Amino acid sequence: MMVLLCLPFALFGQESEEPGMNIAYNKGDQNFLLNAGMFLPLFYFSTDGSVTPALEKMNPGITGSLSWVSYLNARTYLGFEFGGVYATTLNRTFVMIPVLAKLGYMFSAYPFEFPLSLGLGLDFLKVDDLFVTTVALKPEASFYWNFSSEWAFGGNVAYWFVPELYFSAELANQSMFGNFLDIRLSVLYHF
Amino acid sequence: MKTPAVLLLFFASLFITGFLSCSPDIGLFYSVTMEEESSAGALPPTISPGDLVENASGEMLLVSGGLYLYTADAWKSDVVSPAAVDPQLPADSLARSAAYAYGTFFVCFVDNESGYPAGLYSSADPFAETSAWTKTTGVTNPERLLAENGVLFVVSRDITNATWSIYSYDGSVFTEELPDLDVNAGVWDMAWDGTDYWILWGESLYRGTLGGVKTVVDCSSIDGANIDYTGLFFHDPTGTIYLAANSLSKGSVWSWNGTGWTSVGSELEKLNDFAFFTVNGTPVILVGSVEGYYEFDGVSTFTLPEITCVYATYKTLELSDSVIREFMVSGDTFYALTSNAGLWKNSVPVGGSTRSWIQQ
Repeated sequence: MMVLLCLPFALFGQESEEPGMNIAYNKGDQNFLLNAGMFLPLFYFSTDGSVTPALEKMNPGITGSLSWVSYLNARTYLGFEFGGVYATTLNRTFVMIPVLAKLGYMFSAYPFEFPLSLGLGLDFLKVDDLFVTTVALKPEASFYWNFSSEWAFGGNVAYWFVPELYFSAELANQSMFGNFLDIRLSVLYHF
Repeated sequence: MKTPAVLLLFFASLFITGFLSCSPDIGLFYSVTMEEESSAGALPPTISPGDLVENASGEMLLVSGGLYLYTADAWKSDVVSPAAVDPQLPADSLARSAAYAYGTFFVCFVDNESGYPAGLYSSADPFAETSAWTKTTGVTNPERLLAENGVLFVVSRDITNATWSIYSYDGSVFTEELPDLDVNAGVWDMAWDGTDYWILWGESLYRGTLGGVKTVVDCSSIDGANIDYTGLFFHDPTGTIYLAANSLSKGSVWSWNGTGWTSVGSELEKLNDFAFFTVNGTPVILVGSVEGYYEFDGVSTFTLPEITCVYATYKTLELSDSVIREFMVSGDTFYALTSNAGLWKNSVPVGGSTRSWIQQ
């Protein structure tokens, strides 16, 4: 996270744009977004209604992702996110690799931007030798400060909803829904 | 619009790939919620137990290549090995077999590379910090121990001639009971009816008195194609000897009527070992199989018990999916030694037949 904070100053060392400049998106504009931060397990609930606090069984971890989005109009964008999560359970390691489609809408008040997005896609989960492919739904709220016409910095909070459903008789009672939280710092590049 | 179309195709292909992948044996999140912190007093979950024996105080010794001691409700693996006191025993020797008799624990070691016998060692108190093991002499190449109700036999291997002999041991002297056995196969087991020993060796069943007459028990009534005798059990309250026999695909149980064998169960899974306890005064015999175990009423009824969920450190393991190789009963507690899922502990239930096993 410190690297992310220092990166723009180290690389570019330039002053911010003059006040009054506005970042207006047009159709076809694109953003790259780099995120890194903390992964916080919240809770699991099962199909019988029982809830298990996740922090009793899993420690907070780290998370990072790379996103690319393209604007469909001045406020709406579509793209994808590829990321990774690493955390430890009581005895094992938990790894989650999401590949999500991302649809977002941006509110702006220069020099700030407040995108809201919804990610939906595949989620590859692994705990030691146990591997599962499932889907993930990830609503996300972000905040960016535009440092220049190309670079912006900020952070976001994302909620993970990860259903792991089984329909076979042996595993039906093991269907559960994972609920997690990402709190991340972000670097955004407009082009 | 090209961008949404490309993205749609990309994610559609990912979804198809993902949902074509195999289902796991256990739910991943479920396994996390069931996970318990490994305690210092637990056995490694992947251990493959060889023998489990107990002294009069309820302390136990488990051999599984290494030595594990159970005392004060916890397993400990930092056990003083005989290799620490006998330079002739290589440090990587494997503990193969154990027995408790005459107030002493006995352990047979084999060479890690050749598999040849490496020595028989005994200790009256392996639980003490300063315990020392003593090499037991008097029998050459001791390879395996057979014991029941305090009666101890030592299997000796003649490496040159590839034959085996079985000695009884009275605490000081070895007496050759069965010489020149030439079958290196099958499950070795024994039963002791208070007077006679019954020993399974390969395809033969021997009966004899200690130091006395030995006979080969006639099993012609149960002989069939490719039959192996795999388990032997003396049911003390009724004085009945039970024998488990396996064909290529099925197991059967037979009882000795004094002159021949009577079938008491057939068309079972392939069988391994017996255990006995009582529930509210009613005798129950467990028969370990390659897929869990049966509850046997001692007459003719074999039932598969309803096993409640059993949890290892982080996995759900159904004992009914495991190969139960051997049982050990200690008072109201009984243990199942599996070939593929470690050591399991259970207690005689107050009522009903549902049992909760806990992996050690």
